Amino acid sequence: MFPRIEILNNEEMLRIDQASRALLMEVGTHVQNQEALEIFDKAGARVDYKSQMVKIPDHVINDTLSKCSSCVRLYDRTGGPPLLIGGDRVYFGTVGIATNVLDFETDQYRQVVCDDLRDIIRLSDVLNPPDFVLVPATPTDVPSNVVDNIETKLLLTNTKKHFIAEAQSGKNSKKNIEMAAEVAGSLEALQERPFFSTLVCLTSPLVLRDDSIELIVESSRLGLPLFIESGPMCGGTSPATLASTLIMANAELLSSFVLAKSVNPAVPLIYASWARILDMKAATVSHGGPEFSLLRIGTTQMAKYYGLPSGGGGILADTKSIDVQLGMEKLGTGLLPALAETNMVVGMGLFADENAISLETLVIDHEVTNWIKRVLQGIEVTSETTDLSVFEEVGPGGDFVRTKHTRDNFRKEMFIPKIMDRGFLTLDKDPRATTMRKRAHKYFTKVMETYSLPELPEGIDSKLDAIINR
Amino acid sequence: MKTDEVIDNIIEAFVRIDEKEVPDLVSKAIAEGIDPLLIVNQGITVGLREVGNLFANEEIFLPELVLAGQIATEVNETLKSHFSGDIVIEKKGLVIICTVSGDVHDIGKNLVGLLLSASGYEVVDLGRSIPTDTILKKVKELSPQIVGLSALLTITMPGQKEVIQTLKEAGVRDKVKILVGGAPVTREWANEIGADGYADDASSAVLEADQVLKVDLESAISG
Repeated sequence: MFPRIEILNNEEMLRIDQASRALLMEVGTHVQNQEALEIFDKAGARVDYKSQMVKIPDHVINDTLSKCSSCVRLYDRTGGPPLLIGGDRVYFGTVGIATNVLDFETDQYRQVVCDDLRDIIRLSDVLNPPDFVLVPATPTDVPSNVVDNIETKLLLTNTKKHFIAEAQSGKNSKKNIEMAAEVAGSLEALQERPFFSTLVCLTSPLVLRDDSIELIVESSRLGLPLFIESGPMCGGTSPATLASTLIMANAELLSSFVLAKSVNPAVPLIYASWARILDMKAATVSHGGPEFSLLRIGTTQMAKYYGLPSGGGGILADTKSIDVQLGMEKLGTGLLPALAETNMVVGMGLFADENAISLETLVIDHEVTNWIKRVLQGIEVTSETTDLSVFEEVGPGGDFVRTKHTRDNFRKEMFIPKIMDRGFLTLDKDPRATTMRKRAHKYFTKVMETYSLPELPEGIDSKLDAIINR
Repeated sequence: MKTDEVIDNIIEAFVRIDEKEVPDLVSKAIAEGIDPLLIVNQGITVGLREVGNLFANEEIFLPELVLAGQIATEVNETLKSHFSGDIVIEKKGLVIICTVSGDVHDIGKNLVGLLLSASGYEVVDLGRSIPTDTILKKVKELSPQIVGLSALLTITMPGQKEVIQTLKEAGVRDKVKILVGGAPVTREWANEIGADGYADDASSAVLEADQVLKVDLESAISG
């Protein structure tokens, strides 16, 4: 058996399901786009075109859920088998709206530029996890109206892994798709093996914004995967109980799923959430507290309740330093969602209240996620792992270090850390001599030696630029 | 095949820690008439050093390092039987090792013994939790160049001091070099109790042994 946790029982999940459905009917959703209102209308929802309010009856939700797959396949550029997102599989990825980077040389925060994003994408490409790359930072040295397209270009040209792109409008989403099709060779080739997904961040409470709608409609038409996230803030944009926040997050996701599946039943959808709390002193969100982990387990369980692939924030930290708090928050918000089988846990590299990223935190999160992955494997008890012959071979008083059994098994059974400090105290008597951050930086230099660029068609650079600048 | 190539193949198999191929290649090399001394000094010793680097770089780990030590020891034994009567492998020196009285933790000590012996030392392992009197008796009886004393616990560390004191009183302290090791042991402790050397892991124990005996590594390798 594998170690797993749940915090909601079936009755509790049924209550949240019922309340979400009631919310969508009794309060409704504000849909800020004429085309979407028509799509909802056609799908069977009650639509008030004047107030732009949409009320979705149960049978439309049931119909939508019946069109959803329990598994989304995420392809990459290597041509290998896709990641299967769903069920008990747990994958980790980067995430980023960070506009600041903690510079190792100066130990100061500064604004993210394109070169930083490129370096972080390349580091994400060589480390495992990340299993996929959600655009890990926002560069500040490019015009803001095309920053999303420039991010996508950097992803296309620097990683072979599946990536999740962001777009600020339908127009820019189209450009992202066009650029990816250029790299794939054709739109059909991209649709056959979509090596990127689009991120949609919903607005709480109960609003489907014009730009989010454009992204959903655009990708749905072409059948390209969508990673849709709801992110209500408990006590801010959702009521101040965690259960109500789950209801809000769930209702918002269900309404977006109705829209996507009404456009195209074949569109692959991932049910993701950043449901969190509003910190009542800092007046901003908190991603490192116990509630964040509880809410992530809750949204994951709701996804599973409907048989949907799940995702959401995790491995996050509010701290502004690479310190003890970072380790505590990263492990807590990484391990607990993973134990709940959140299929895509996104947050690697990010810290400082979603505002900063660094090469070192990404390396540290690589260590944290591998630590978690070992926990997920549990203790394998089989006739092979309990074989008596090695006990007999060594006998009382002997040591097992020199046995073939140890050589054959230690790498399978033991997590071998890359940067954690272990060993005798005598090796490192000065407690400040090599902090985890320094060890992470050293490992970064070493691991980058294995990086190689993805294969790209001839002359792709100017073609992508032409699309961006159009 | 040229001698250089044969030796290179042995090193390559050794670095892969291939317990079958290394002895096979060594047997073939002997059959081809290659000087066994050359195999030891330019093959196995070089391979062992390379394996030590892999261990330091975390590319291989303890169980593989131990196996490499075992392969080296076995190959050295095999080669011995092929030396003509008047040639013998020059041992770097005789080392007796043990954990001190009261300390039964011997995995580290065993590893040190294995690597010392693989690196050309003759090693007599007295075992674990050895009374000071027994150590004195063995020093008198065997006249080793080095005595290696291991202690894993802070409460057994004073045993190292006691051995040095006892050897002094018996008038044999100056005839041997004493190396101390074990998790809580530091160079400061080694200096304080009057040991000649200290190492924090098995690979550096070999270097430290070479250092205190002033073994010229380069000349040992070139044979």
